[in-house]
Amino acid sequence: MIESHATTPEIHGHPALQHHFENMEQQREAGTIGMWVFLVTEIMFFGGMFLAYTLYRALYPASFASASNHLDITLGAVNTAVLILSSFTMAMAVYFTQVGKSRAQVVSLVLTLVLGLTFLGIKAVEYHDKYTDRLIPGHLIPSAPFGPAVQQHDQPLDAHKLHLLPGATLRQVEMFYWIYFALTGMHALHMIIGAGLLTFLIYYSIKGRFDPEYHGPVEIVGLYWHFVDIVWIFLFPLLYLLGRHFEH
Amino acid sequence: MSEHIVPVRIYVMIFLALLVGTALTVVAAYIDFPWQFNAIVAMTIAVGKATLVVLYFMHVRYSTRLIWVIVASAMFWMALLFSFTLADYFSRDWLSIGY
Amino acid sequence: MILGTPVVAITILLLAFERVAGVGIFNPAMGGDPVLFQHLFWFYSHPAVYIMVLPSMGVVSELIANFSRKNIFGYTFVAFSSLAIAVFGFLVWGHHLFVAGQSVYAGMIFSFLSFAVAIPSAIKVFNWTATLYKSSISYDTPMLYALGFIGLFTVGGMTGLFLASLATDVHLSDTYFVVAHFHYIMVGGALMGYLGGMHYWWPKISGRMYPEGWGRFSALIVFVGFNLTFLPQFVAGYLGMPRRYHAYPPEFQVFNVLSTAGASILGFGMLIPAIYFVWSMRYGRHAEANPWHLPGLEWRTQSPPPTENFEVTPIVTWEAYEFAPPEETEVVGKFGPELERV
Repeated sequence: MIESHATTPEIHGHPALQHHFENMEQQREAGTIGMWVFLVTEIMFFGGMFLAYTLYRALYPASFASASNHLDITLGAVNTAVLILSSFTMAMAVYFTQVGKSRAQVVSLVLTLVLGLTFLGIKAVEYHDKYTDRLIPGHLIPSAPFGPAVQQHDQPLDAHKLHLLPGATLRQVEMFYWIYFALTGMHALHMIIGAGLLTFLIYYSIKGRFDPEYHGPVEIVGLYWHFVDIVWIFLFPLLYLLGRHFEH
Repeated sequence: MSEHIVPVRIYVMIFLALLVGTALTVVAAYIDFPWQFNAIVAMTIAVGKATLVVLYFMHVRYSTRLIWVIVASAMFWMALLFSFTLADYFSRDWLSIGY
Repeated sequence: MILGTPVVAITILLLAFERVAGVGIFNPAMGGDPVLFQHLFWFYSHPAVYIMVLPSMGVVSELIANFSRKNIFGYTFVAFSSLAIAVFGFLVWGHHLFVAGQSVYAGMIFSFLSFAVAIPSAIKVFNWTATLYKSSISYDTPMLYALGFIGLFTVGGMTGLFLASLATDVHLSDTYFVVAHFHYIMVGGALMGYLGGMHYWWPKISGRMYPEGWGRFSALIVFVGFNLTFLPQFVAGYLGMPRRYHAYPPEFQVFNVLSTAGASILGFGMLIPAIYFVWSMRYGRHAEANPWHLPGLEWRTQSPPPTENFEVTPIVTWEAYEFAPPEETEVVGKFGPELERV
């Protein structure tokens, strides 16, 4: 039974309440659900790449272990700690918004952004190392040991600083690095987008847009940020740690 | 407002737990476990850390059932993609008919 | 879509980078695996085709119920079948990989699940047919398309079972049989539903009536043309004509000629509505609010509807799909809250 109800033109309540919501709580809940549905698509998006990784790791265990051992575990672990700390500061930013401590909220958001940029900076250092070690696959950046010569025939010998375990081939190592760049590159892209979102949040926070009643945007950017952190939580052991137990 | 505000000490505890997990997974990586246990240990720790982030930092523990369903279905669908595809690859050797 | 599209998105991205950067994630010459590409691709693409046909099924449910003046038989079952098709559709993608090098065991699982996904579709077809039983059918153009859907979708669905069985699929894979099968579902199914819906709601959308005589004529032409196009393809495929070849042996000549002739007729049949829909925008008879005399809520407002859809919010005092004999369905006076039960 449809009841006829009049829609009044004035909006009661908070100025940020949209006309199609009853109250701020419902609006925040709807926004959260929307962000979660988007995160579902992101999970499936990264999932495809994780599947490719799983498959090739199962097929080429020695090559993957060798390639992984060449990655800098210190930088990787530091990056992991940086991201976890940034997730913490992000959660604190949401908390401070909920309790109305606006200065602490802005500080937390700025800290999160700084930590995110730190992560990206360390990543850039790592990528540069790969470049100097000439381990970028493909022919966009001509390099050995993955240069065009490799595509003709395999070289089952030590190349540059790579220590190949028995059974590893250079072509399969190249496969690892391709997946490494695809996964971390896609992750870094998401971090950059997250940094952009955080910049927006900081700008509006300074202007005092968010308060205990209206903190939906802070919360959903938080959800996005935590998701990017979770992806890295999986990437770190899969990419950096898989072959360490062969090292000695 | 009926929203649940998570106390700060919970956030701090989860943060410390995540750091411990990271240290643990690095240490475990250097220990040579038999068979595939290295991967299993690493993934268990990673799943544990991710669960903590999802439940507490992302507030799913305090969220409505609808959000639980959404999160669970994402996990389930990823599991679908993985299990069926890997089932193909791992069962190829069972029947030696030429490929 | 939420669950499937990202997978094909990342697959296409990886493939693009593979081409651009020259790495071999799917390229066997470089250690990659093309079957992985197929798995990732079809994980999305199979559910996608179910997404394409489900809305048409919804339209057909609406058309069948309304034009036979009878509530749909087993509404709950029809609704849950839609859900079941959507979920099961995600479990069957491997049936595109039966001859691609997939393991036989995985093939058996996918084959079984492909048979299982036919069950909810069949439930819907049976329910639609049961709705027609002892009902008051009016053969207007939308109904003709809906009836066409039921028949052609059934053919398409049953030929899908040939393809779902591992042994027959070895023979039929990559032949014209497959082409005919999915065209029966897509054109004979989804497109018929679309055309039926267009004709049904055209008066509401545009405020004009299309010419009914031409509508029925073009429905017939489309049906004949469609079958003439794709039925020979079943035979050609079964006899072994491969798909995606630019040249074929002379024994398939007659089927190709029939198919081409049918395609011309089909094209002509689809051109006619395109013409008369446009024609009706200018010269068609103005449509009243409820040209089909049906109890649905969309017929309770003007054709086309005003900006707010309803000038006055209607007060509904009747069940959905509650049909009365045709004599009682005349709208008394101007529609509004004081509307009599129709």
